[in-house]
Amino acid sequence: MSVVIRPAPEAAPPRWRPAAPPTARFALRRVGQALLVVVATFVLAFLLLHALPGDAIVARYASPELGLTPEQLEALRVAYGADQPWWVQLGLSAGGFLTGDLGTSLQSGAEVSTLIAASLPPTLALAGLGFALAAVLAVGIAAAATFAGTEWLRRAFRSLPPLFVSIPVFWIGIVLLQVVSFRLGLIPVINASPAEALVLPVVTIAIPIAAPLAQVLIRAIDDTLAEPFVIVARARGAGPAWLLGREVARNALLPTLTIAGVLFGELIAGAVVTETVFARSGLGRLTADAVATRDIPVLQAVVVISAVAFVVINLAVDLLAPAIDPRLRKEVRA
Amino acid sequence: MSAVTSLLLPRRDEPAARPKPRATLVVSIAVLAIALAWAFLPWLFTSQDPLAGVAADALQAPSAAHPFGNDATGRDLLARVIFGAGNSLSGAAIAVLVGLLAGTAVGVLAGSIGGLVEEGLMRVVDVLLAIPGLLLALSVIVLLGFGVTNAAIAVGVTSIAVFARLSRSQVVRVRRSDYVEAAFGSGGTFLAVLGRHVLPNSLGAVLALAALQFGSAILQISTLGFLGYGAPPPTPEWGLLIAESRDYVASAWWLTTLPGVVVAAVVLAANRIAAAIREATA
Amino acid sequence: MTEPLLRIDGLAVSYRTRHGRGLHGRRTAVEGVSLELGRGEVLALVGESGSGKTTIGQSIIGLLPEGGRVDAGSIELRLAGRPVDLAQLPPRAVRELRGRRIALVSQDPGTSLNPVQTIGASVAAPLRIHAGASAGLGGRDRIRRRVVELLDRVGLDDPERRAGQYPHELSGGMRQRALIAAAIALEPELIIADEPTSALDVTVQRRILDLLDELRAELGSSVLLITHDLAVAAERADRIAVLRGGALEEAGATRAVLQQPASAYTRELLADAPALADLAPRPARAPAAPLVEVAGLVHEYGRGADAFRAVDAVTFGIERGTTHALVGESGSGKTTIGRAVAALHAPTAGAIRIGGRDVVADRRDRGIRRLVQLVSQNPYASLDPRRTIAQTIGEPLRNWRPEEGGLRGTGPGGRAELARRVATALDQVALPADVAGRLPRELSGGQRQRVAIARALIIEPEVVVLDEAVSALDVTVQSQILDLLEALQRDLGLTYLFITHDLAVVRRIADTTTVLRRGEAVETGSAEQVLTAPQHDYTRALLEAVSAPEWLRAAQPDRATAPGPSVRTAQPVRTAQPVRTAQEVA
Repeated sequence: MSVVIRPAPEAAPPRWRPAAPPTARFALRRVGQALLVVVATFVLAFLLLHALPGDAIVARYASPELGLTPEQLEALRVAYGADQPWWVQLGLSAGGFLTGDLGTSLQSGAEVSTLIAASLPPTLALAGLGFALAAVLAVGIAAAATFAGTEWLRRAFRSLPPLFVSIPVFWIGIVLLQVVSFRLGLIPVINASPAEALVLPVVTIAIPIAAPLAQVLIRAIDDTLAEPFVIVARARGAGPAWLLGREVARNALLPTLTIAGVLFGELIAGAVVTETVFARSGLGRLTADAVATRDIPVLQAVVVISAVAFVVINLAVDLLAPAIDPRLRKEVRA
Repeated sequence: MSAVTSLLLPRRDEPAARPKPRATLVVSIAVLAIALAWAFLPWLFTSQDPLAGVAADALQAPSAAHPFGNDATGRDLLARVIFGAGNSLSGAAIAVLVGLLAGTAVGVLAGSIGGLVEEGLMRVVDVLLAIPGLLLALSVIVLLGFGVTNAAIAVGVTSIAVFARLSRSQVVRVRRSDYVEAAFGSGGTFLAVLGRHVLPNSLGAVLALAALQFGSAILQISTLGFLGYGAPPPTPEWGLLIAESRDYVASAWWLTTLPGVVVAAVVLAANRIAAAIREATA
Repeated sequence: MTEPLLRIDGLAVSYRTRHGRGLHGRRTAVEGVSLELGRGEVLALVGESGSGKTTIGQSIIGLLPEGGRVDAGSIELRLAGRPVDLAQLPPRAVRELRGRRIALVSQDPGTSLNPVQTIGASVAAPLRIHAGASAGLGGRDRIRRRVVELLDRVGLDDPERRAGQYPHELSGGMRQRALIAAAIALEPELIIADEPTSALDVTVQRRILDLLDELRAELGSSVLLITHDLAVAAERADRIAVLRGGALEEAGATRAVLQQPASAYTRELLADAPALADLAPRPARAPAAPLVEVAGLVHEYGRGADAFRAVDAVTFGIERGTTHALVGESGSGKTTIGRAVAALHAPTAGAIRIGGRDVVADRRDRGIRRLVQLVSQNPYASLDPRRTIAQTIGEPLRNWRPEEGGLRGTGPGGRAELARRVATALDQVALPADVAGRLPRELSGGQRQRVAIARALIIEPEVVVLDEAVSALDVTVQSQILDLLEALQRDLGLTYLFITHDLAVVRRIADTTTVLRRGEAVETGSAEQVLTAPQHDYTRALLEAVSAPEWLRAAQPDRATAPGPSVRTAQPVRTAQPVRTAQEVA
């Protein structure tokens, strides 16, 4: 046997647990990534919306019925800075966004920041209430889908989320209007109080949010219930209330939080549609009008602000996650 | 918008203890088949003209002669829904193709090459995801102009990121598997392993997503049509049909209700078929 | 004997099968099993995967998985004289007993603790659940004190601090201790321990079993010990019940059953039990230059201050035609070394040579693949689920041109040759020819591992790295695969690097061995030398962990003469059986 036999080397004791990155470094890295995405989104939105044949000014004012002369058009272009090369415009636009100057609406000539500030409150009310209702609905559906008395009932609740995402949102709004206001006459169409006027839009916007939320919740609860530690808890004599409250809730929260960003996108889409259906003013309506009139500065501002909000929401979720799941707390321990 | 739909896909490890009922799949296939037949051969299903109405029939409630009733200019609503299928479904098909081709290309490239290419491509995907789907679609529409095809492309663009993410994660999952390591270990070249193992095992989920996106695209195109950025009137398109009927919600319930039911049925059917594809390929 | 604590009579359990929904879509898991467990006694349920041993445990505690139900029989638990039939009791009443009268210690401590709950909260759970009306304002403090007391009792150091920690901050052994603390919190009469140590490192296993023994004696509880390991059962149980395919093979006092087994199956289990294996006689050979040389191998994961040294200056050599075993527990770096030898990654430092060829430098050269092949642990993951067995085994041939020993680019003419060589390869690993057209999911775990071996051998490598290649398999199957590997080595002159955590397996097939701990080689030498005269404490600890009582060793029938289903040939192909993963071995 010629196996090389040698004593174990007396090297330095091995580092058993690799040093984990401290939370602060993780947070910094994550914030950096988020900033990068915001900058890239800004550039993309700018390029996308300025890649129009000709440019925004021509697109907006060149139609014959406005009857502007080429000289007038050129003057407008200079006034809006559209005669500059695209990268100068990008720089100017970026500088403006950083200082809160979002440009001027081509349609109304008003400051975009003023327009957005004016339309934000009603949309926030709509989206906030809608989201709250959606959360309540989703938790209700998920709980019923998991713990309802009979198999038949559980299946019925399980089929709700796929059903909800298959129905056009605008149609939900119209049908609600038709049934609640016109058939049943519960909420007046004209001269409704501000609170009354909110009811149907809030329900309309809540449904497409509740569906994915409920779906993810049901799935997360299913996953957690299948975990061995739940079996162990049952072996200790735990009943449904204990299981749901102590074992499942927190474990199911994290996967649910991770779709917060996606839901935000749904809220924006919901606001555009809902405000159009119910003829409400707000950010969604502003956006829809901007598209209809090709009002590029307004659309660009809405896109960039939404992207920033999306990134901030996801960042918050990532930074919040360690508070929910201790396994994510990678701190250097003394 | 489209990111939401992918949540509906069953996962590979979905417990099979609760198989979905077969009957719903049969019904779903039937619904989709009818919708496709409407799209390709609309005149087989109705003798009515979708564009020209009979003034005397204006706002007639559903009857034997006009099962879906008539609209404000006396056009047969069922005929409009049937002829609208072509616009809505072809739009959805275009949208899915755009998302599937571009997204899968990005995802497979990122997942199989890895390194800086992956890093760069996935940051682009992050950017696409950061813009809410409807806003991205609207931006593309402003760029391309209104119309059914442009709306379809816009919807397709919004799903690129979802396809890219899913196909990348599938490729990465398969790449990490022991059998791919064994394939490389037995002397397989990159392309051989990609073709023999990685793609066949990754694409099932992507196809299921495509079916799901088909349903979702129908919804989104109808939304764009409803907002007025899709087909111009009087083209029959499902979203536009509902939009045009809004003024009559108080008097003619069928004008909005029935086209909406058709849209929901087709979307539900597509989603059910997507789930079946996922189960079969898992 | 006084009345037993538990009496199972004619128990039958079935599961709803995947496709059927009617009454007929049920698969029987347990049939006509009758058992008794006396007070203060340990009864071992022994069997391989699919034997129904776990199902019996689940029926007792009333936690059969969805779709499972007790079809017939009774499960009588006699608490204070009057027996109750657990199979008939309403769910709410069973729940009252769980945790209080019947406790469960489950298999995998890694997943059995709620990851977002502190250890203290987990241990307090049974106390809180069953606190009832007695939980007043002072209850909170009382429970806390009791938790710390329990953690201390199960041997966790600094119990106050442990109570505030989360599961991921504790090692596997510590977690299992915490789970045991929770199980005994209310001093149950019956403890069901379902493979309580299978997921733990071997040196930890013994200590956990000792703890269970101690606590049982202290509390006077009875233990139902579910295990696949005959040696563990022999050492710990008063009585033993051998199960196979859901039916009871035999039961009785441990020594009586194991020394004079009435059933052929028990004899086969005994013959195949790795812990009982004698040191295999290896052919003597003249010393030669090693074929595989590993020198000063270092592997670090991560970089800079975060770097973690998984392998630290490991050196060994393997002669042609011999088997070298790398032995160690999880985290010992054995797999890292194996993958480096198989040219799958580059070490941080050190040299690896096979037949003089520099494996580290040439690892990107495809040619190295014909020299060394890897067979990995999990036969369920190493085969492409969409490709037939013939495609899988033939794939390496399609990667190489004829002059390289393959059939690449040989066109239709090569197809017949490919089929012929696949058939030869199947025959070589003792698989029936009709397996060729099947998919992996239609094969059992042992058969899949044979396919993986055939794939590795078809391009005729000189060295095969076997990474825990038999660890996921039942003992009888494990024994068959080890026999196959030995035969192939004899016939083909193969050189093996055999990676395992199990010294018992080393005893059976290795010529030389290296014992690893935390990336360092603590001992290297001939298998005989290391196993009979270990120099290092760690090797001794590993050896002790796989030791079996002397009387049991003496009782072991000779493997060659062991009766039962022909051990040397492959099992019949299973088809209808739903696929189970290796982790389900229960």
